Amino acid sequence: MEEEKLNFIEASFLVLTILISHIIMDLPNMIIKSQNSSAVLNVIYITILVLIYFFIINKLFEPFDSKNILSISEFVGGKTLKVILGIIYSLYLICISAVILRGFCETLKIIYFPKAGLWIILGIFLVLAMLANKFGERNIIKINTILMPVILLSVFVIFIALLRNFEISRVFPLLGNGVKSTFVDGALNMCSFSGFIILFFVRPNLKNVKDYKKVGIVSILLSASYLVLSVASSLLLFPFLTANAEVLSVYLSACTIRFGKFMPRTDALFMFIWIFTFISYLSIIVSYIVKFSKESISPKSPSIATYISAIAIFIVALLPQNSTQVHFFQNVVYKYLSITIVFILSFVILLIGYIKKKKLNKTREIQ
Amino acid sequence: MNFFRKLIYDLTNDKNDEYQFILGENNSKTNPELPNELQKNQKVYDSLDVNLEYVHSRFNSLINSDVVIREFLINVKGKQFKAFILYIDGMVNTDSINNFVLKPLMLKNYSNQFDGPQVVSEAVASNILVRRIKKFNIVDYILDNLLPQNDVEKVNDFDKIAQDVVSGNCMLFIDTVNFAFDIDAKKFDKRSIAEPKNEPVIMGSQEAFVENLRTNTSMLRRNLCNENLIIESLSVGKSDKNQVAVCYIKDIANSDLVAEVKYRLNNLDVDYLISVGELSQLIKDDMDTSLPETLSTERVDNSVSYLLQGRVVVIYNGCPYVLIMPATILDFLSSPEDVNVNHVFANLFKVIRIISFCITLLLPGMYVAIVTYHEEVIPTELLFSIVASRSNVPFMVIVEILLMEVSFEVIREAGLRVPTPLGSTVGIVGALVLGQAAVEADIVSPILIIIIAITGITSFSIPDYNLGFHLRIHRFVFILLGFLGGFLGIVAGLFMYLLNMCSLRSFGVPYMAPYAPLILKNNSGYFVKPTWKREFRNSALDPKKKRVQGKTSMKWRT
Repeated sequence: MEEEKLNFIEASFLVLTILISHIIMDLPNMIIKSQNSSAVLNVIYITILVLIYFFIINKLFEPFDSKNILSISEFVGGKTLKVILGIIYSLYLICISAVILRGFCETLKIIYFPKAGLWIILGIFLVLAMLANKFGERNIIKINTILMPVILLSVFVIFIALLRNFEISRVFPLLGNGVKSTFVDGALNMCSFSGFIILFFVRPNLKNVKDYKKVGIVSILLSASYLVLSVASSLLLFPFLTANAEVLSVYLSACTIRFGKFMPRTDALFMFIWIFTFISYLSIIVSYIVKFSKESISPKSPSIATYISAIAIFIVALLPQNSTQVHFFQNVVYKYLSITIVFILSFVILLIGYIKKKKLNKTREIQ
Repeated sequence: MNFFRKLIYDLTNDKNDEYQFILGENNSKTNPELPNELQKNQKVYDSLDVNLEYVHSRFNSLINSDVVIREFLINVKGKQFKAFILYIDGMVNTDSINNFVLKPLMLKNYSNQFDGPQVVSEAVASNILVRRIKKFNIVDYILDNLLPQNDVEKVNDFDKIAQDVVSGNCMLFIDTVNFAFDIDAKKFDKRSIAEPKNEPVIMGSQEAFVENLRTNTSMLRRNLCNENLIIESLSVGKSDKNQVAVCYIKDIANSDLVAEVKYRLNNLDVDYLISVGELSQLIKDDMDTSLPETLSTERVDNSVSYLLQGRVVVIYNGCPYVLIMPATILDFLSSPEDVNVNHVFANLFKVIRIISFCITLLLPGMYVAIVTYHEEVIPTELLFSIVASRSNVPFMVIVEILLMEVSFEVIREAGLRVPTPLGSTVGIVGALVLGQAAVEADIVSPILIIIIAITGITSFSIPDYNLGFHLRIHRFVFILLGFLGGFLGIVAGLFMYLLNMCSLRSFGVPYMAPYAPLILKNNSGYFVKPTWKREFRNSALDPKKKRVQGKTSMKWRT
């Protein structure tokens, strides 16, 4: 049973998978578009904000030992709130993963499978996620632990390989569109860390709850490095990136890498790694949706929850009619939905729970 | 004249008098299932005649030419008792039976003629000699005085008697005694200890296991001087009842692991087993995977090394390979030579093996994927060359590669089956002549020959035979996936493949340990540490003793 629990590296990599998949989606493009030359500075800034946010969250979690946000919501508002929150989180994950998957599959379709139907590519990913869930969440995390170092390495390779092509002057002016744009409006770019949501649920799975802080810091810093390198690669490489570019910005960066005459194009190799990331990501998302449904509505068979969640992602992913709508979902819906659910709603629930717990403890002490 | 006579006979008579044998027809009448009453925990009778009749019946001595039953009279203290011995000719040492069983019992000598009291002890007190005399008992007397053998047991169960007789023991039955003397007099021809044929090393021991169980256990004992080495005997199979030895070091191996191994071996409902290969398939955790879950080795030093790590070794009588359990994927990619050489060399070999593993499994599939979907990965000049070489080939790349892969497997299989001197000829004819002819005839492209050759060569660098088989089969799956979905197909397959590996366990130990789950404590992982730094045993095995050596193993330096 002890083996079912995660050590801090496994837990960090679990959180990282979600964070990095969101980054690969097209976040660098979105950040560069909104911040221009201050994109790197903005990423550093939001990283600091997220770290501060995490320290607060960690403090708020302390009285609850190894409970997750759903258990805390039950403590705050009873079973009803738990069910409502379970449904909200499930819908959020379905929507976000569907948008991310759609963006990635569109890229795959354009590059490699122009004749294949989009639904086939989407279907392959979702069938794999369903099959992966048959092996259980623990095995998905195990494979994730093996793959993550390779995934992390890929962005460093891209960055280093592109170093000689970088135009450093593109980071100037440092403040881009201005102080307000970088530090006030730019704070909304915290949505890049929407994978943070897993940190609200990972606590009960940890072998040692004291590792929670370490898990949070490591995963945030590693994903921030990934984001910084991705943003820097795109910013320093291209004079401009349009929001409506039909392929991923990290892919565009990878396309320009040349390793001499023998390897003129290496983007397929990076795509190879990113496909791994997305399958892993989707498997984790489906397993978490199943977990939420188990905790909140206790379905008779977890397999049914797996199928339903995969089909739901499939349907939502097919909803946008064209790439403009996909970009709208990625740049607007994703941003505000993530900020609302991950950074506001979860925080409010946790804060109320914390206050209630403190009051309860005080009352007990008085008695 | 005779011809015409036969012709007339054939025309006038039906041909239904021709001899025909069809197995299985009228099975119930001619080949009824024999009653099993003789084998139901029958105890030895008091009467020698009844025992004799039973033994005749049970061992089918009237039709069994090598079952010997020798009746004779025993001389004890001047009296005579009827007796017989039972053994299988060719499995016992007849000199030993003649000189140390029959002679002392039959011929007159001091021991069997002595009629005085049997003194247990004597003492002199006040000039008076006090003797303790044992009451005469024929059984004790025979056992103590007339059977000068080192290993004699009293057995009263005919099942045990039958099992020991077929193992090469000699049974002595005496009238009025309701048990038999089980005398160890084994001697049969066996292969002498030789060098390992399939796992050669340069700097290690050159001894390999043989077919005889006792020789194998003795080799383990000789190589592992530790009184805590336990060798437990079990029998497997209902008809065959072959001996299996479960070996482990009591103060190192996890007790639960040992219990689990014994539990699985004791709960096999099979009539017989031929080799450890069959046994390993019957005791593996996951039946659906073709991945091996137990290591097999013919090397004694390798087995000793695994025993010292806290694993269990199972020796099967009649097979020169032993099973080692539990095993992880990393063990299948390790060679016994790894610990003998400097860790830098060992790790280099290990990296090469990992690369070989990936190439063997993925290269043909990757080639198909790249040629079909991802041409941009190939340098432009090379791409032109590939396209030019394939321009005259009439087949699709998938047909071309499957054709060559299947041909390669056929050549490999044929090379194994033909007599050894011809094996290399088949290889040369198959690989060189056919390959070149196929290229010249534009059936396949030259680049494909290179791909198949590299894949074939790398597959030989996989140390474990069973893992090699597994990779050969799965290569075809990846070829199909590469053709259907390019890198997407290969990644999908690889993800599921790795996921399956992550879900496996070998006797409770995760198959991908220590990487999945990640076990950080006391593990060197796949790579070999310097000899002086190998402080701990593999924690995935949860051994009783965690430490292998002190913090400073080279105390002479301090």
